[in-house]
Amino acid sequence: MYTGAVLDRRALRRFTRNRPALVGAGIVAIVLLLAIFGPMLAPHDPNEMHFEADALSALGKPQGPSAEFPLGTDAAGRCVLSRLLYGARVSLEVGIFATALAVGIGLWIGLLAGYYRKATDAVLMRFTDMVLAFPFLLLVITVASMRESSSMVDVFLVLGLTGWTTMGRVIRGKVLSLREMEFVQAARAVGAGNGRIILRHILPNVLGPTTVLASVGIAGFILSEAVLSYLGLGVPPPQASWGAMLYEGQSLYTLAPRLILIPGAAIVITVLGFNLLGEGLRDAFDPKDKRG
Amino acid sequence: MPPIVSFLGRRLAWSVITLWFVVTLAFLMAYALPADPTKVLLGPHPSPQQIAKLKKQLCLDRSLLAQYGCFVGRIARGDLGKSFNAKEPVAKIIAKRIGMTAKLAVSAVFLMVLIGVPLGVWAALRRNQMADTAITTGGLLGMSTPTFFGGLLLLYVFGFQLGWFPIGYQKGHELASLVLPAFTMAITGIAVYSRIVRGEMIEIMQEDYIRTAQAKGLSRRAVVVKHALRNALTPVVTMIGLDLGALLGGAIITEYLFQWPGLGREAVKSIITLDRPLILGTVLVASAFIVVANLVVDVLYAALDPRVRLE
Amino acid sequence: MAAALLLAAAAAAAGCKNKSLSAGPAYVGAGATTPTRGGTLRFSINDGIKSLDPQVAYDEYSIYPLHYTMDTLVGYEKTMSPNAVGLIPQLATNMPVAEERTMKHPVSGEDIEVWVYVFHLRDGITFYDPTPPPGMAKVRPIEPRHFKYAIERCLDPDTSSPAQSFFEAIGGAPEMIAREGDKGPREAWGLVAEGRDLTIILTKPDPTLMYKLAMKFASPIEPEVVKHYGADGLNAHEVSSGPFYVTSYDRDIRIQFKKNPEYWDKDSIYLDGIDMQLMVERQVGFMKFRARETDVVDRMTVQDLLSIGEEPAWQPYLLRDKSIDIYGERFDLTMKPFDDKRVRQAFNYAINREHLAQLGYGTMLPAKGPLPPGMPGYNPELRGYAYDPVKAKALLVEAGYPDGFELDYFITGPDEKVEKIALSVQADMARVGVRLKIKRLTFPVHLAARMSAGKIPFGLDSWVQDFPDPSNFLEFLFHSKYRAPTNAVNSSQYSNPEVDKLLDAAAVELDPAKRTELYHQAEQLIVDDAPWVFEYHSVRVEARQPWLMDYKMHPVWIRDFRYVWLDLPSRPR
Repeated sequence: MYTGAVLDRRALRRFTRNRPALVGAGIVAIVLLLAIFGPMLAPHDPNEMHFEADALSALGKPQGPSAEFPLGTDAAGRCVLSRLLYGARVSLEVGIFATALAVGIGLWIGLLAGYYRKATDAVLMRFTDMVLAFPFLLLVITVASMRESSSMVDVFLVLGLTGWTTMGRVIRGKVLSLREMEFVQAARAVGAGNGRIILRHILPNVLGPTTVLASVGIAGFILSEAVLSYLGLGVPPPQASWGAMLYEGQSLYTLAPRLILIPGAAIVITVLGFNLLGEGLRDAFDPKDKRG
Repeated sequence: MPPIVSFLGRRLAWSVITLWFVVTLAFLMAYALPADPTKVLLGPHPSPQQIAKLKKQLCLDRSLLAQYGCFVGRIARGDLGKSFNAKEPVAKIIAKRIGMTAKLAVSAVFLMVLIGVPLGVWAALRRNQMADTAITTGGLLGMSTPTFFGGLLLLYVFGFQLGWFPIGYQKGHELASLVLPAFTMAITGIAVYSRIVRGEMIEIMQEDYIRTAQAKGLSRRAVVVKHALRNALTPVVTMIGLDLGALLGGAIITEYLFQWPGLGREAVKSIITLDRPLILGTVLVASAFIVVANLVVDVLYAALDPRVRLE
Repeated sequence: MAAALLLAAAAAAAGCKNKSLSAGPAYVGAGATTPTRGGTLRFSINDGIKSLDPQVAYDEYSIYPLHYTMDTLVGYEKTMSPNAVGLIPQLATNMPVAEERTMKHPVSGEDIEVWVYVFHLRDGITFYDPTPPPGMAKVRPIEPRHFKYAIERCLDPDTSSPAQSFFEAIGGAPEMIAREGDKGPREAWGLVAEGRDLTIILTKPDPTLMYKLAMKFASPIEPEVVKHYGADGLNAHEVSSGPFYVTSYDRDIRIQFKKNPEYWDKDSIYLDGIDMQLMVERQVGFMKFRARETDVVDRMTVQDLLSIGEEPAWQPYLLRDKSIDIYGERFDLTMKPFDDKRVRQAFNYAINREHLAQLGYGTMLPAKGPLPPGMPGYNPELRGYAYDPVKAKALLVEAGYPDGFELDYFITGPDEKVEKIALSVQADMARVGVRLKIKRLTFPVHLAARMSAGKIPFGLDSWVQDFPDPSNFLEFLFHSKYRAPTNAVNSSQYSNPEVDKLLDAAAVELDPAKRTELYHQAEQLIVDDAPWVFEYHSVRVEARQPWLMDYKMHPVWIRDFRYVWLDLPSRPR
């Protein structure tokens, strides 16, 4: 019986020969390590404000890199390096949790719509269209301004609950073709129930595309978190996220461009890493598909 | 009934239902906001009589369901209500802003196509060479850059440091003011379009009919332009439709950053000032564009590609 | 690279000048010494204008256009030192003092005591309206009835004017305010227009009447104009009684003014016009200023200050002035643990106001109490709270919180300055064991929560003057009659009968020295009770271009461009 191993040997070989994919995997690995061990590497408490001369001038000007503060301080006299390291964790957490939520919703909607077709499919896909038709940012801003306060949980709930639509559509497409395949027909012939077919036979075969979507999804959600924080609606202060660092640094950027360039570069590189990884995985699973 | 008519009818009905869903959701959200608009409108020391009076004026003294009924009824008659703050009809405000947003959206999509498509073709023709690697990587980089970060960098370099363009929107210098925000909005699109075109081109160039054409001795240029590109552009047309639909609803971040007086900025302001009729109006218009764009794209698809089943 | 080339081409095509920026001001030198006429002043603000209706506009930015287009009976002196706010006659020719007498109440017929002011109007004052409603002239005389009507419009419940309570002391005002439908008067008998005189009759003394008459709420308006445009139309239309008139107004984008050719005092006005861009993001506004697209920069952010504040070349063009306001946090005295004075005092001792000042780049002046220096009635001898974490800790222990406690701390946002202060307060309080959780509310949500008791135990608050008189601070913020639910300006729900008594006495005391003494006593009691953490008064810092002359910041109007002039030959372009 064909079970479609998620990462068979050929896929693995294709992946390891794909240089951009390896670069992506490398970036993701480094960022993950930083998110896990960053707090141990950070020279300071990321939220501690330093009022000494090497952190903040008497007039309140943030200071550039020094031995004490390798990447300098921000406008509140806090260590930029420490905030960058702690921020890696927050940005990744938001990205991963939001993706988990989006995958959780999108995967099931896709599976059910694709497997049962007909009315189920019509209803679920129209619902997806409706969610897609809602202007995402307006929704997010309204929700954020509705809450008495924003917390990280709000941020990833909002992102996850709105961000599953692509996932649902792609998975549905895959399931539609899978359910016609021989091994599914065979399972049905030997009397397997719908639940069993979905869980045992179809689900394992969509895990590949799901991994790809998740990787690209994390990238997208890290960007969305940055946008929310940029509008001042992200994680609550004093917590550091890269988006929040951009928000805090943006009005100083003519004077101290490093305050936006550092977190900005961190976001771009991390997102690039996840995108490269996602692309590499796609090529590995499905070498014919060359679309972006 | 010919299939195309019933197809259209069904899609149209769904569009209306979708809009109703969106508007209801927006209504619930706008009215769930814990703040009281009378306090925003009356300043810090209103008298209880003033508050009661204003509440009556704004229908706030009625039940949520009554307000909803009144609201849906108005929309069905094409009346979007009157803005709390500007005291003007919402439809008038939106009409005033939509032109500006349209200029920006069309320019941005124009840039996406003008730059994205040639880059994609070029990359496909130089597959796995330097140019291809550069374009593919650049594209991924573009996709990985937050819009506001890209916009901030453009503003800093070309507005502030070099002084080529006005900093933010300037009346009387509309064309010059348009360039930076349009580029900002186009960054992601350029990246996406070039990647799509590249992928399509690579696939099509391997198809038999292209090989046949080449074997017949047609020049490379003729093959690329006449056969391959024409087919590769189909998904791009779809994307243009959807992008235009999304952008016409107002590009919130870009408009905010560049002071562009469009719908997006109006929408954000309405939320900040709790201007419920305006919140609902902007949401409705933005979703209407998305829904219409989807509809048009579906119909075009059905018309262009007979393989699409009209189910 | 390709994109850069394209941008360059687009720049060339759009015909843009390359005006790369230098670090310093455009020129440094004395410039012209005698005022010259002409030129349009350009500046941008980072908010929109809510309304042009003089009886409705209230916030700082909506007052701007009104200040250029409207005059009042009395106004502030043209040139004022930063610490004095003197009033002079404007559309009136005199500054009457109250004449105390008894009269029969026109409705009840009882004998009542009244305070009477008779204003005599200046001759030749006119409204200027280049696009008049049909059948009306461009230039129309201003008469006493137009002032009477303006104040009655404030009182009329249909107007929803925020100024309603300011004119409560006028005879007949309470009845007008209470009118429901057609039940109640539409005029106030305490306002009498006769010949060239406007008589104002008060049923209780009001030492702040002159300040209230100088507010734009009291600027004259014609009932015919109100009728023509309707209350909604007045949001975007106005008729000038001041030095400028509006030539174009595009909501949230731009408003332009031209000099009023019929203005009674036009010789004092040098500018040809004013051009204000609206809703300009602060940092973009600052870039516009650096690019010399504007002549003065709207309230700089702390970050903007850092970039030019330390450049010696800019020093002559920086303006600093104390603002009449108070910033801090207020407790909700109805909520635990803030019903205990010791806890509130502990907070006051625990916060390091010097740190705040350092974060604020000299835009924050540590405060001892609610009244700022530069305000009549300011008490330099007031006992405040010095930074003393040990004492703070001891007070907390005494109040029964040896291990401190956890608390939600509400701020408004997004606002980076506010957030920076909050961070510092959070750190200071952590040092004495109070763990603050910062919660960020958007402004409307905050406004609604602020005005109800029992919602925000501890949160950022502030008050900016309506007019520079202690009553405007102490009465609104600390008199028990302003607590929730009636009218919750007193957001800490503070109530002290002794303070109420002092404030009530001061409110009707016409002798300035005695009045000041009463306010001093009340303020000390309030500070000792600590319903707020009084943190700082703000210092406004602005930069002007070298060619903007005779510009001073104004304690009430914030910016006053009425009497400035431009040294045009030295302005680029």
